[in-house]
Amino acid sequence: MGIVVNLDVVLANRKMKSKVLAEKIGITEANLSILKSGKAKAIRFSTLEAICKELECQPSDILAYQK
Amino acid sequence: MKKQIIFKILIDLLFFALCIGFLSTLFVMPFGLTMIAQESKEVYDWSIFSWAIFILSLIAYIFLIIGIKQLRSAAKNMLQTNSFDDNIPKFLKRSGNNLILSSLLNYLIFIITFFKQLGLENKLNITFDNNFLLQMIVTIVGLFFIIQSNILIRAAEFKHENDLTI
Repeated sequence: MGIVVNLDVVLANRKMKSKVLAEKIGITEANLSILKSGKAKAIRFSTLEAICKELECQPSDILAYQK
Repeated sequence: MKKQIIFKILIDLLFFALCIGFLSTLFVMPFGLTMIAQESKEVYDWSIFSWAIFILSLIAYIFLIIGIKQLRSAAKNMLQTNSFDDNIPKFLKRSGNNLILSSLLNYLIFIITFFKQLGLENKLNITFDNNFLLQMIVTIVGLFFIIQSNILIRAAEFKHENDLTI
């Protein structure tokens, strides 16, 4: 499996919509969708920092490693 | 963009000039109006050797035309799409392969005519031949196109990776 993105779970816990988060962190909804779906090849530290700041969470809440 | 347009126009001109040259050779030849460089004889007086050289030259010429046609397709794709289009490296590689094949055949012709002259005249003539250097340039350009196509494939991969970096 490798690295999995749990952003949708964190968003659901925070009851926040993707559109709102995308607007707050300054990326497009399409890019956020790529990130959520796990199609992204990489994530910038700045993006991760912005997501963690907005959702008040740790990077480990969003990214996890699965065998 | 201007450079790309000029490049496309020049490639088009070269392609059509080569096609006209090929067709005129095919249509004029049967009437015995031309001579070949190796032997200044009318077509009717050509030996089997001259015909063999002519056919080899014709095949080399066809490879050159195919190579330029592929380059034309690459230039067309470059103008219509972006430089990271999947077809551009494909066309460039094909163009490079055909140019190399064409130059290899021409080297073969040089070697055959050299040994023929050596056999006939029994003396070694070392001459500076511009045509030989021209074929070297064709080989180098062909190899460069193949290298360039590999670089473009890698560039497209990097772009894809960059596009998927959020």
